[in-house]
Amino acid sequence: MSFRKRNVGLSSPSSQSQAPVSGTQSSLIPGVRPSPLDGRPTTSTGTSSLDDLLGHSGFALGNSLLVEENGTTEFGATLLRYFAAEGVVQGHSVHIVGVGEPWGRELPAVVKTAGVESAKPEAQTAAEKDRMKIAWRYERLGDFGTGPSSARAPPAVNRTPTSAISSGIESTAPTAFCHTFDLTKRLALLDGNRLNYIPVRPVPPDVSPFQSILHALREHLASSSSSTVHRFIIPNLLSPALYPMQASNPQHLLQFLHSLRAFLRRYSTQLAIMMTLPVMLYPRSAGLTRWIELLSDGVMELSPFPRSSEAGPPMTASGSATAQEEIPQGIVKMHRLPVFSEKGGGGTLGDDLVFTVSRRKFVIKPFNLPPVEGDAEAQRGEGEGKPTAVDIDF
Amino acid sequence: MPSQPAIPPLLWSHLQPASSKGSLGLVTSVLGASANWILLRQIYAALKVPSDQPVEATAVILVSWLRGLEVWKDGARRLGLNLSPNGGITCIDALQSGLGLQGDGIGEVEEVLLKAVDEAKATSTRILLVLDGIDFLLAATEITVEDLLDCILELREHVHSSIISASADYPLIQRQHSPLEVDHAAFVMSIAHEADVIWGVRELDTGSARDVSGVLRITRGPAIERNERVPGEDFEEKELLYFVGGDGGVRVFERGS
Repeated sequence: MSFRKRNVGLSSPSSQSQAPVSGTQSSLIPGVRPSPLDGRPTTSTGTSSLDDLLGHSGFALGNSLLVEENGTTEFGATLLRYFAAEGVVQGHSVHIVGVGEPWGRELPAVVKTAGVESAKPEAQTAAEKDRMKIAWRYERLGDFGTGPSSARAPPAVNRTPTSAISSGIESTAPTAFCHTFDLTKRLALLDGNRLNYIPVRPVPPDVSPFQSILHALREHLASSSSSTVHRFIIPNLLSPALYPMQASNPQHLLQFLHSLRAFLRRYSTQLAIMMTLPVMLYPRSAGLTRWIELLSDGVMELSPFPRSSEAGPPMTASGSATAQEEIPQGIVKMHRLPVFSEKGGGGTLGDDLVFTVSRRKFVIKPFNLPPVEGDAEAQRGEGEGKPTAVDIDF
Repeated sequence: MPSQPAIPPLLWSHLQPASSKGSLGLVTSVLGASANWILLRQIYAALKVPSDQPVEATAVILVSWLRGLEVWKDGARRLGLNLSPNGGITCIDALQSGLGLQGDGIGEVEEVLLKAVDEAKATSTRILLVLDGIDFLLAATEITVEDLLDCILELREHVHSSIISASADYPLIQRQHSPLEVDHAAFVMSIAHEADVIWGVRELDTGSARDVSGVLRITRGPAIERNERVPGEDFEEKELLYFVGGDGGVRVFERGS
């Protein structure tokens, strides 16, 4: 008897919508949803595979993410642009430090019919409904335990443009959490969601160049309503092109990061920070870089493979255009995860991850060595094996 | 509510010497392995003395430079601790207040902490002082290693026992190129030589594993012999593995078990 009643309770939320937890205040703010783990508000980085990697199926507000990049590539900047574009689309207040308007004009546009998770039509196949009933809440919990490995397929399907196109529903639903962006198109900035550029002002050599930045951020946070979400973006921290020489003085820099951390904790439901650091100039073996990392909540390192586009063909001699897209472009290392690492957790951080950037997505996934060249059977197996492996794991 | 005991059994015997008079514990952590959970369990052990021991209840003063109060409250709640003066814990949020960063620097730190110690003495004479991330002051201000060590020595004279946590990442301890690195190494080494017990957490040397968060090494500090403090008879230097779950629960176990 009681078993039957529970069944009724379970089916009702899934038939209404896919919002993980209903009734909390944070679910009313666009682009914010509670973590399936502990209910803390999270927002999207604009990159769904990165959201999944961060453990709460989103980027927990009140945290910072440091993206370190080796080499002279701009993959980290791509992540920042996704983060900024997602904020603009969600109507968040987006602040960018050190760079001017040209940076903001480069934001990628939303793929029109993308990423509607909750606005699925009623006319679903019975099988699909069944799957959702059982699994919609566990899928994400599974993500946490297994890291970025396999069980991601079902939510990813919901986000892909094709499924939305087939449903024929416009993507303007405010409940979309993570959008898909097209790097080749430019986001049209409306007056309502203009980006806020915070310049690095020239100062005398013995004064911290960060004071004015902190001041500007403090004013914005204090003057906004408590339901405004702020995204604070620091591209290329300490880059000599943007910052004066004294910026790398530990006293100026570390006090600045410490103050940012204080802001994050004080406005723990309103602020998220993402920054990139060129580790070519500030190597990870240096004490200063380690302190920058220690003052960040999440630390990820991108190491692009040192090869250009012409090196691609050998690995996918028989591959089609789609297979070519899957060629990993670099290694991702997670050194620290927001929230989880602060509690003392670790262990899942050292997985071998790779990233792939294509026109419409920045994907981070586990690294598997490709089959040996000429091993046709294995190559065919790779192409077909992937979806089935996902199914089995699920 | 937690299925496992608040203090993993393997840790109990090692928590005892840290609570003897004048003792100093050093807890070191690295980027990928945070040590909050150990600090919380040491606070727990200090507060929840078994009832058969005729000692006065301890008051704890916790100062944290790197972590907000919420994290501490969250972790303490899981252990059943009340992170407030009523619960025997005075918390000083040096992240928000920027204690020691402006103005008088180390003088301000000493003043604020001595005041807190005086206030805590109203409830108990047995005070445990926990300084979390005080090494940040060294990196981010003009405070010198000598100033900081002097301040810590002064504070230790006013409390029953103390615990200091600091980062022991390779770039901060081993490299010693820049002044920042040299100072950090000097500070951590000096504290280590003063310590009775050293708790070091680090990532697993052999790579990552799903069921292991890191390695905990518990070492006898030089001060134990020097001060002829007799640690618990079952105290032995140990290297253990631990796992912190997503819910904050902790399991500590021997290698191979």
